[in-house]
Amino acid sequence: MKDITVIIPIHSIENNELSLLETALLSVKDQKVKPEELLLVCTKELENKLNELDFGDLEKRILVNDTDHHDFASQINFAVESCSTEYFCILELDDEISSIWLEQVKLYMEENEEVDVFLPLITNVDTSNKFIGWSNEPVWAMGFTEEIGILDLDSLLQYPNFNIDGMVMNCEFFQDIGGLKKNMKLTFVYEFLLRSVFMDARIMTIPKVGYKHLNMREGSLFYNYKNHPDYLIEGDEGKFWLESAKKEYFFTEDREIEVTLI
Amino acid sequence: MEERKDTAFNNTNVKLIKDALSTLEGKRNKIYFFCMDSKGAAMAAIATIYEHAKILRELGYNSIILTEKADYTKPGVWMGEEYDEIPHETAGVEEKDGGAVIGPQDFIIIPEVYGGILSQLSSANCEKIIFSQSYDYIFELMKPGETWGPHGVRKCITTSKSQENYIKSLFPTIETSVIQPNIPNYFNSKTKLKKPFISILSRDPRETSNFIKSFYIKHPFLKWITFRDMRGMSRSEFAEALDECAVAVWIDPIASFGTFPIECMKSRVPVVGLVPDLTPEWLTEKNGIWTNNRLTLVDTAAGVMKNWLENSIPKDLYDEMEKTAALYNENLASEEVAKFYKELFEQRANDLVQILNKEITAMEEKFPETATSK
Repeated sequence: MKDITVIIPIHSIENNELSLLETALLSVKDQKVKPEELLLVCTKELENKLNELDFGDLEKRILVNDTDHHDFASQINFAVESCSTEYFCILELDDEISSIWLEQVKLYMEENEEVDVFLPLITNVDTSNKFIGWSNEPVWAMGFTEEIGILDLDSLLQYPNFNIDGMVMNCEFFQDIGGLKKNMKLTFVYEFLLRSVFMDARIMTIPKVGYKHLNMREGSLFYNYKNHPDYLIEGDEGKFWLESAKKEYFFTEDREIEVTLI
Repeated sequence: MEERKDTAFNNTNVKLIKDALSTLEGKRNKIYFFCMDSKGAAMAAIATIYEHAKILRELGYNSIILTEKADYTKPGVWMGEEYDEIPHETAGVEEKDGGAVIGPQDFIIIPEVYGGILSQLSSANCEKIIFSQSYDYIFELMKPGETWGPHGVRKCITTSKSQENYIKSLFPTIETSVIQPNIPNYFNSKTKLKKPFISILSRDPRETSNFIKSFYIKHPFLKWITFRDMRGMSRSEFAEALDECAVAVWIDPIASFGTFPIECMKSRVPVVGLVPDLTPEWLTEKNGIWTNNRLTLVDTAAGVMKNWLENSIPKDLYDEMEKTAALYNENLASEEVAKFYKELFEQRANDLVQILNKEITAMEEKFPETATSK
């Protein structure tokens, strides 16, 4: 049986984020099949605060990212380098993995040895916990992809809305293809998936609800892209990043990108 | 019985009965299974008829499929080539042209839907048995007030207790026996991890179409779920396709037995179904998700599908499905078929001996000089 580390990248803990993190931790503690390790990656200032949390009987490690980059992509890259397991799973601090998720991943791993990346069926909820839609489900719609259940390049180029929250992936493969690119801004997930498929990764959505994603929480990355004056991305810039992802996925290197709008 | 050489005892009737007995004992008698033509489409009722014929042939009996027309489409395409190898004959064809010749040692098994042709068979001196798999078709071709008994039918085979009770209520003098349908052993759960597909089977194709359309409209968040209409497949393809599915929907209000739900249970696919008017005895509150409301069936199915996606379908349901499915298998069905026909042939032989004795007694009374001790 493959071993898995759950990685929670933490950039800051403000407002109600601590209680959200506690809920996220609870979802890991409630797993029917426990992860081999829980890895919280954070900044130096947050280390003590995180140590005070209740981790139950989970094997946990708090990893301080001492680089200058503490965005989501950089935190994940940093954590994966330090993983001692074969696979890792991404959990955002304001989200939850369903209690069956790691159990299901292990079942599907046994039956699908050729699959490199497992995505969960994600339920997206709003801040009042109301269901607003799925993510990663279209691969199971008849005719969406060439092979049902498996994401392919053509489908991804047509439909970019896939999400890597809850994703379980081989650590070595992740590093080989260059990890996540912080320079891709709001399309770093899309570019990563395009690159993975381009580099022959077999990506499967496990048709089980494995992850609950809190959508557009105030202070979250995508909320800021939409609302925060310092991060705001609107109109043509959004399109620019989408097109950039389609150009950059051929390269493993995270190249600097200058926004040029016509 | 002592062989009589005199002419009186070798009259036509006695000879006919003696020959019939000899043919019956030598398993050379014919067992005709009158079968409807589905024109190559899979039909559970036809499959059951062919299964009976096949089991009898394997036991050394001379079973034959009797068809209404010469351009009959054999079911090999969807049942398997071995079923095409069962001899077929066409009704109404003269003996010289290879048509069916029926004698007192023979049997003709007639689907209930052909009840209306019994009058044409009144003169046939064989044993006539009705095979009722779809109670709703019993009166299809029958005249008002017409029953099976006056046409020489004494027995009826059916597939469920509840159907047996219904038939008894209609034809109290007909001896009815239940033989469970054969569910092939290839209906089993090979696929450990099912796919988010819903297999759907309805008697009326319109029901399938309407169900799928209303499902997508009422539950747009499940628009990505694939439906598998189970029509037009061979039986083994059907079993494979079913085994992949997460959930099944069954709409057949006039079902008599309900082969499909049992096939689902064998494949570990929970069934969301409309309770048929004649509830089969295997249907319990625990072995499926049953409803009497056709209009909300679509919502029930959506709920069950959601449960499957959340991996929250109770284990008890799967356990109950397994228990029910275990009651139906190829071996049990074969044993039941073999037992029924063996008893039938023995009874027919006894009947013929009695008729023969009556004939002999009658002859002895008519020609006392020929009487000897039996």
